[in-house]
This record gives sequence, C-alpha cells and structure tokens, in this order.
Amino acid sequence: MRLRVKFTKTGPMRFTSHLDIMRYFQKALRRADINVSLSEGFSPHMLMSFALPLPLGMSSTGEYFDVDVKDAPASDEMIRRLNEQMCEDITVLSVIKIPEDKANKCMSLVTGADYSVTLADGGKFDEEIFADGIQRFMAQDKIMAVKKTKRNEELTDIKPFIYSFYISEDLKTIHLRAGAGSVGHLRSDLVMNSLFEFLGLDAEKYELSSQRDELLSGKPEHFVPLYKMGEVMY
Amino acid sequence: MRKLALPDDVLLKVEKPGRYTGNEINSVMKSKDEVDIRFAFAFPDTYEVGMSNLGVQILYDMFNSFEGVWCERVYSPWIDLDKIMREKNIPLFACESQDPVKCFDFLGISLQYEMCYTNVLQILDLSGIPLYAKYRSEDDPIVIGGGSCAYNPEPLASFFDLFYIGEGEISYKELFETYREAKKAGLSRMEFLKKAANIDGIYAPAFYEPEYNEDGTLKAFGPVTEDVPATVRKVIVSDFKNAPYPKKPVIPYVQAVMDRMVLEIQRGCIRGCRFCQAGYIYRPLRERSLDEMKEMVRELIYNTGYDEISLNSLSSSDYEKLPELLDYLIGICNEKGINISLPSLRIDAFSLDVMNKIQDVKKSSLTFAPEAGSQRMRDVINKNLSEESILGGALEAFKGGWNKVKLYFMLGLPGETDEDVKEISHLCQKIAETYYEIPKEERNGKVAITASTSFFVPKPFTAFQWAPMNKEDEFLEKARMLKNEIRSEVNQRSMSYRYHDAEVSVLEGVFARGDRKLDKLIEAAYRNGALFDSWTDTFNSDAWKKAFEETGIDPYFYTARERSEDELFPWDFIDIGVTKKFLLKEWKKSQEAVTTMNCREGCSGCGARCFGGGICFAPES
Ligand code: SF4
Ligand code: SF4
Repeated sequence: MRLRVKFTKTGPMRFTSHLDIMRYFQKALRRADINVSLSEGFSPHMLMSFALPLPLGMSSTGEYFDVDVKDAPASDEMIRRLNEQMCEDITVLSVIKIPEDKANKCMSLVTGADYSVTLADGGKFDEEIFADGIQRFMAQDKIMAVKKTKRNEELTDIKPFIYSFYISEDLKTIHLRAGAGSVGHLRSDLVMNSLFEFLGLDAEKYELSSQRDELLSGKPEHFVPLYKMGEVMY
Repeated sequence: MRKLALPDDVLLKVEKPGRYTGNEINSVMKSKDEVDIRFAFAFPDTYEVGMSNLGVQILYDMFNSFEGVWCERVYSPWIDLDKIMREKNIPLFACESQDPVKCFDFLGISLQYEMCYTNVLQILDLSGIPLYAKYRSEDDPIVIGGGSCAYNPEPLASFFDLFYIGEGEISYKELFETYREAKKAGLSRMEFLKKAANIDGIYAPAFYEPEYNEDGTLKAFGPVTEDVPATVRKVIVSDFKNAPYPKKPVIPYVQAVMDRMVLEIQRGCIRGCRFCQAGYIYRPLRERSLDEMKEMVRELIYNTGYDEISLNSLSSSDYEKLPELLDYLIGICNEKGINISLPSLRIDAFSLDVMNKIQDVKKSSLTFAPEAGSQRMRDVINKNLSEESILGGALEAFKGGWNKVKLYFMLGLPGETDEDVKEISHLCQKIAETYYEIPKEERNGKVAITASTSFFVPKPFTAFQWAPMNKEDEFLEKARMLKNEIRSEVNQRSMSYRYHDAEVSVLEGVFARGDRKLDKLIEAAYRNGALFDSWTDTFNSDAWKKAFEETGIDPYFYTARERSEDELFPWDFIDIGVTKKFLLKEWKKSQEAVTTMNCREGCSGCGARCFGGGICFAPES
C-alpha cells in the first residue's frame, strides 16, 4: 500500500538539501520500525517519491513524500512514531493512504503552491506602499519577468501563473498562490522581485523570509492540497 | 530554536550549508549552565570526512556520558566559507551550540594523517587562538591532539598544549578531573599542564626540549623540569571484549564519506607487515566478543536507521569468529534489507562464498593488496601473501563470475630493484592468464585488472623507520618503468595502471619522521595559502615550495637520508610497547628477506605484552 506523508521543514533544517532530506526520511522510517516495501535485487531500496524540491533556505509547512509499505498502523500512531524520530525542525503533520495508480505520484501531481512572505524581523509591511502596490501590480495586463530554466533565460509573462497575491489584514504577511511543478512553475522570489521592481524598491534593503505553506494539485479553480487526496487510516 | 552562527545569506552562498548547522540526529545538546567542562572536538578536514571517523564518534559519546562535560564537534570550514569567515571576522564555532570555539575549556584535534597539518592551523587561526602554544593566555582553550599522528607529535609540538598518546577511552576522565581541581585551586595554565603531563598517555611538549647535533639529527631529548616523566607510554583498552561503543552515533544529514553503520570488531593486528604503522602502534590485537557484537548490531540498526553496515578492523579476515559473525549479520540484514560491505577481507574460498551471498557479483570488483610484486619483496615487507594464493583466489573468483580485479602495490620499498618493480606487471599478466584459462563459456565477458601504486612513505614505529625514502624523480621513474612494462604485456588491453602523486608523498614523508624544527615550515605553508592538502583540487604545490625556500628546510634530510641504527629519533620518548630493539631486529631481517610469524602462529616477543591483554595472552593454539 502507498502512504503520503506531510511534514514541515523549518529553522536550520532549511539548509538541508532535498537529497539529504530523502536520506533522512529513509533512516527515520527504519528507526520508527515502519514496515516499508523494498525493491528486489542485491541492493534493496525503499520506494519513495518526493514532491517538488524546496529551494534551499526556504522553510515549509507543506512538504510531501509518498512511500510504499507492506502494512501500516493507524494514521495517528504512524504520526506519533515518526515524530519520535524527527529532529526539532521537522514535524510530521499527516499520514494518509493513497491509491496506488501511477497518476497519483506526488512528484507529478503538483500544479500549484501557496507561499507566505514575511519580514525577517516579524514587522509590518508599509501599508501605503504594499496594500495598494500589490493591487496595482496585479492590475497590469502582463507581468514580464526573466524566467530562468535549466537551459536558458526567457522574458515571459508570469501573470497567468500568479493565481492570487495579496497582503494580510495585519500587514505582516504577503500571500502568494502560484503555479508550481511541471507546468508554469513560478519561483516565489521571482514574483517578489518583480513586485519590488515594479514598486521601484530596492529588494536588497528588505530582509524577507519566505515559507511554502502548501502544495496543490489539479486545475487552479479546483485546487486540492496533497494531503486531501487519500484517506486517513483508523 | 537554536541561533545559527552564520547568517542566512552566508549559508546560502556556501557549498553544502548543512555542514555547519548541526542538530543532527543523536547529536547531544546540554545546557551551558549544567556543565563545567566544554570540549570542542575538531576534525581538521571536511565535515563529510570527519563525520566518518569512528574514533570521533566513540569519544564524543564517551565525553557526553560524563557528568558535567559537554563535547561538541568542529570541522574545517571548506575554502568557500573559510574565505567569508576571514573577510567578515566570523569566529569558528562548534556545530551543537554554535558558540565560538574560543570560549571552550578544551579544543581537541583529531590527527589522522600528516596532510591535515595546515588545517590544524586553520582551526586555531579561525578560532582566534594563538597558533603557538607559548603565546596562549589563561583564557584560551587547552589545545590537545590525539590520533595516529600523535605517535610522532614533534612536528606539531609548538602548536599544542597537550598530546594524548593512545586510545581515548583510558585517560580523559582523569584529565577532566585534574582540570576541575586545577580550576578550583586557581592554578595557572602552566601548573595545570604540568599536572596533566603526569597522567598516563599525556604528553605536554612545553616541558620537553630537543637538542640537536650539528648535522641536524637529534642529540638528546627529554624533560626540562624534574616533575614530568621522561617517557610517555601509550594507553590502550586492554580488556576490549566488552569495551563500550557508541550506541547512538551521530547521523549526519549531509552524506558522509562513510554513510553506514560501523562495527568495530577488533583493534590491532596480528600480522606485523614491516611498513605498516597501524600494525605496530595498535598492538596487541584485541577482539570484541561475538555476543557483544550481536547486541551492537541490533542496537545500531534500531538507533541509526542506516541501510548499510560495514566491519571495521585492520584485517577482518583474522577475526577468529568471523564465520559466526557473518552468519548472524547476513541473517539479520536480509530480514531488514540492509547491505553488508566487507572491506579488508582476504580473497579465498570462504570470503568469496560470503561475498556471493551479499553482493551483486557482476558489479563488484575484488581487491587484493599484495603491496609488492615479487615474492622476495613480499618477504622483505613480511606480507604473508604468496603468488599461489593470489592466483588461486583469482581463479576461484573468476569461476564464480567476477571479472574485475583491483590490486594495490607500493613503489619505493626498501631494497627494491627494477626487477621487483616489473614483477608487479608480471603478476597482473599472470592474473589475466588465469582468467583466460577458464573455458570461454564460463567467462563473464572480458577481464579488467586495475593496478594502483602508492609511493612508500617510511613511518615512525615501524621496521622501516630507518629506511631512506625515494625522491620524487626516483618514484616517477619507477612508475614510468612499470607503466612501460604493463604496456608490453600480452594482455595489456585488460590492464590499467594508476599511481598516486609523488609530491604529496614526499611531504607526508617529511612530517611522518619529522622533528620540532618543522613548525616553521607548516606555518609558512599555511601563511602561503596551503589548506586541505590531502585534496587533489586544493593541494597548493607552490605554497609548499615557497615554504621550503623561506625556511631553508631540506625535505631530503627527513626523507631520503638513511638513518644509522643508533640514531635517536624524535619519537623515541614515546613507548608503544613494541620495543625499538624488536623493530631493529625486524629491519635487519627485512634486509635478508626473512619473514616473521604472526601473533597467532606464535609470539615474537615484540614487547606489547606489557599491556596485559589481547592476543599475547591467548592460549597457545
Ligand atoms: S595486515 Fe599488515 S598491512 Fe594490514 S594492518 Fe595488519 S600489519 Fe598492517
Ligand atoms: S608480545 Fe607477542 S603476541 Fe603480543 S603483540 Fe607482541 S609478538 Fe604479538
């Protein structure tokens, strides 16, 4: 059977790379004595799939991996056992059972992500500049930005992939919902930089901390967070 | 949340920032207020290398089990971070608390190979601790060195307050007690060091001085005050059967060089290969009990979650209960999906059978370490491995489906002739022929033989400590000769040849048998930018060349010179149990190509019996 695990990655763990996180969970699953399925052959390995790598340095409350197991205890029990093995900056939030079909691999499911951007000192964004500024930014017909891919740089219109962008009432958090994964992937820092440029502000002067809050699947109008795509085990 | 020593923008700029953020699984956090001794344990190389060192894991675990002591880890910042720390004046810090090293009571530095010496200075320098011990103040940490290079501490003597000679399990408790008492009594740094110098296995260089002859050799060496001992005897765990081990080793996030569980099955070695320092300094052989080890395996699997386990020892084939141990391992590892890796096994029917069970034969290659090509040379070095058994092992392996063989040799061994060098090539040819002896249907494609040579570096406390070392051009000439010989073999297409860099070997040779005069050389090289000398990419040849020029030190005085039998060596004041008399006898026997039996065959009276344990007291078989 296949399980989907949702976890957080914050604090100093932000500087641990994607590959290292993978190895970390492989060891943690073994320490937690979870009955994982292994591949056949001389060097058996776990069958795991991680969703969308998180940029180094960014924290997250919505990270995911899928793993094949032979059997599993109830979700609550599983969460408890895994959390006993976690370091202080990673917490397992949910474990669900998901269908085993190919289309349901969390790696390929992701189409969107939620981010929140705050000031590193926990303060408020300047109301005059940002509340109105973000609205004006989004009111543009096109938002042209240089998108870097593995091979080249391209000036593209990123507006179609910004699904929502607003500042919270207490002015402390800027929320962004943007395209992610294989189609229309948009880095949150690219959006933020475009905003600063549009507002004529020097991005360097603001110490921002960004967090990924959730990974989403489906069409933008009907986004579903990944942890809702299966069932809780009782 | 712990506060990190490095700001985010720095962490995002450097390679593998996870090296510096600590908080690994099983790492130990304590409250500063609850401890009175803070020990910063540094490994003068990258995090990945340092995290793989079993000795560090053992001592880290032991220190933290002591009430009132908090041991934290420190690694050499890689060159990218090194540069930033200098520019921004960020002091070196420990992984756990992220506090500056300078505020610790002790800075322990693990010395495992000579080519880490400039990194030792880097650690001191970035910590803001004066490089020379004599300039340190009452507030600086006590700097103590240990590990295999501490057996000849003299090249580093000026930079250390103390050295620990031997296995860490024995004397640290007493050292910490002494430190506490000294602090309570308000003793000065020097007064404490003198007390420490009287603890078994502890050497405090400030109280000893060398005197030199006109030709630069040592005339005398000894204490300059009355109340410290004239010789320092190594300390070891005599009863190793049930010795403690780290039940919960620290598990790094960043992948270490050794990304697996390590099972230390024994210490020491019975063989006495005459070039091998480990073989002599870790004598006598002491084995862990099988029951203890079964328990260890279970605990390690449960506490670490690693998917691979490896045996750690100098020569695993010599472990008496190896078949039983492997049976147990294969059982439990199959059940849990854990791989077993078996380095340092002699190739024979037994080991091939085991490897067949645990490895994919098609992918794996077999390793032989004959060390020398000719039988005569193998007798000179007392490597008890005959051509028959090499070819026999190879034949068995080829029949079993293996087709890749790696062979390790040394060039520049004492008394080596051109013929001895060429014999390396001929041995490879014979192995190739062995492969083509088996019927074509049974062969698994083509055979691939890789011969690697390293350049022989004479080490202190070996039978070859008197031997002259080849110069760089001699080494390279031999390597060329061997290359040509291999090219002229019938089956040369099945063979490849690799050799190590000669320049680094010469440096290693200088420090291995070096004396206190070398402090200036290490300092000069460091100031010229030498760092991470054991890494090919970062080795800075010019920095070293310039350092030799600036200091006027002649490398060949340390390497190429033949030492007379009665020469006083800088490391003679250290007593490893094995006597100089025994080593000299071995040196002479080597010149006649006469071998010496191993400890299991019988005792040759090397002197290590004085530790009261291990193989020396095994019932006669
Ligand atoms: S077998 Fe020889 S080379 Fe290996 S550790 Fe023992 S003495 Fe050293
Ligand atoms: S005293 Fe004898 S048995 Fe003991 S280590 Fe020396 S040679 Fe081996």
